[in-house]
Amino acid sequence: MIKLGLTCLWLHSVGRRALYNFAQHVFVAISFLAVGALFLYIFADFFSAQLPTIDPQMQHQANLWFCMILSGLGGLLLVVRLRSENAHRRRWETREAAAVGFSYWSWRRGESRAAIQLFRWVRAVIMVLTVWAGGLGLAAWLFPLAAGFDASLWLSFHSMVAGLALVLGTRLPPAAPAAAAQQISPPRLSAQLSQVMSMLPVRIAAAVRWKWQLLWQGAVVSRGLLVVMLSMNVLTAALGILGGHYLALLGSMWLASLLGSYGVLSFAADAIRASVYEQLAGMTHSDYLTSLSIVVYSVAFLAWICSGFALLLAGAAGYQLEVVLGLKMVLAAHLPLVLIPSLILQVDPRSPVLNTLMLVLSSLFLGTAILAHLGLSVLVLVLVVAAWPSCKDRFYRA
Amino acid sequence: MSCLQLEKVELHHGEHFVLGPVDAELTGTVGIVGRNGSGKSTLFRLITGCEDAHRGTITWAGVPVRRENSQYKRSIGYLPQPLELPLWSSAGDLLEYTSRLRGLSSARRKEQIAAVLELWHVSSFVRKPLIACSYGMRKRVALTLALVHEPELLILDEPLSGLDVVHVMTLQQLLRRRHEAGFVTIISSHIMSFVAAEASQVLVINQGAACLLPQWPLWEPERRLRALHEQLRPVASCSAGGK
Repeated sequence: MIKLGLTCLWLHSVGRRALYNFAQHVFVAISFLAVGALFLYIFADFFSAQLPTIDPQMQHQANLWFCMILSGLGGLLLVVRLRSENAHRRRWETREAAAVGFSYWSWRRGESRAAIQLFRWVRAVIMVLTVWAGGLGLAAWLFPLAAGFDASLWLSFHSMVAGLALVLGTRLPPAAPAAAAQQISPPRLSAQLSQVMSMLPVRIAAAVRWKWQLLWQGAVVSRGLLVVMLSMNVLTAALGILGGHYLALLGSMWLASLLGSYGVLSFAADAIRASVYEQLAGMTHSDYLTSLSIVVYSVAFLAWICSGFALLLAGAAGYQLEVVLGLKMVLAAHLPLVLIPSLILQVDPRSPVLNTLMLVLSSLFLGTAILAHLGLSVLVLVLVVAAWPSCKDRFYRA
Repeated sequence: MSCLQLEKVELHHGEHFVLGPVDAELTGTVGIVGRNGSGKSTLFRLITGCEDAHRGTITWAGVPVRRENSQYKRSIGYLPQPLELPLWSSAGDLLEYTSRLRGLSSARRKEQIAAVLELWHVSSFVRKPLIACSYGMRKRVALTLALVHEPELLILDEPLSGLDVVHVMTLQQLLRRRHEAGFVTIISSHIMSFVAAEASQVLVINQGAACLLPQWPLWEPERRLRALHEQLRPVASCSAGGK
């Protein structure tokens, strides 16, 4: 009985959490359904009339990639969630996350490794099944018209991601004493960059340095996601070399940018918790946005270079791509990173998941426009300019 | 009377010494004082079995304290700082689980839970999720979790922070009762008058090095407080952080 005690405690807390915020959960669900319905309504014509006219081979590839992206994101979210709930001691010290760290909490109070392992398996299986079933349901609902769609391939991929999440989510730390802590230092700014920084107002320069430090020393998730973002561009190059469809290349670049965005958003969510210190130091709303923009655009610049390099590599290997289309692809794919400073304060900067969803929707709309005509890139500028005053003073309310 | 024995205990990260060597035999009510970052919490991690020392041994009632010694962890009571509570759980759930984990029989469990709930005035919010409770309420819940099985060894990290005046008095009475019963209580606190009044031994930690104040039990509280201030004066003049 005692072996299941921890699992029961967790289930009880999950139930309590669901009930405690029930009204909020219902509101979020209704909002998402409304946005989804609006999306379907806007694109009804495209789905019913335009889509069937697209080449079936292309439809098939697009569906497959979209499903894989969906599944990959679901799996990633799951791994992040499971890892955060397996909580390391530092998480207790750095954030007051709710329902985090049952394993660590109980281990410290003398719970046996067997009971903790059992708890981790039960929890991981429940969470994986929820996401797996949810992903299947969403795909079945989203792609009823995917004629000839090879579901078995996607199912295998989906199961592989779920299995990986399960393994990562249930791994216990080794019984042996932990190795001595490693001090991680952020990369030093080069002399030229330091010179540029010295031209900025002191407050903004200090804030940029602080955020840059946080990005590199903060959550493991941020660093991991930034590395994955770079790796995804290797996939882009590989797809190009293998002669994949341009949508496949676009998909992998977009996913790279989205993963990087999640990393940046999670660091920004940590940073905003300490915003009171910035406010006391006299940081204004626009100082905050300027410093955040500098850090985010540095990451976006890195992503642009990587993607451009991946496309050049594919081109060198004989991949046929028009220059204009390539430019459109690079611009559209990196919208999630570019839009972060404009969207982060619109709803809740402390929620990376919510902000990622907003980035997905906005970048899909704007990306479609850019792909339709390069001149529509001006819409991004319009959004950036309009977003700045629309979230005025929200930094002070954060 | 049981005692917690520390023999040449050392902890280092690479070449950087974090703590030690510490040699001490801790009995009765032990106050641990020192500056921020001096190594108090590190010592607590070692004596609660959360981390293993790189050198030396810690023994409680003759049994070595190790990271994987679940039996030891179940037997002690520990109030950490920060509180480390699963915030979506309620005090009732956590008490039920903790008392089962400590191996209390059904009848004793009910009796003990009722006793700590009453002592720390937790009954009024026993079913409320901790996320909806104030810091003071959470602190009392953490104290009930540490005390529910009447441990022979109780470790309290900053017990006074967040407690109101009534519960500070309750804590003082509890410490005196435990001392009379021959139990061991280790307290870390920055409130010198509290340590001077309650502790029967004082361990001063400065930049990882620790020493027990000699002749402490024979002194009057006033003299204890003066001695503590004198002992800590050179500590205060040291630069912070350099170990």
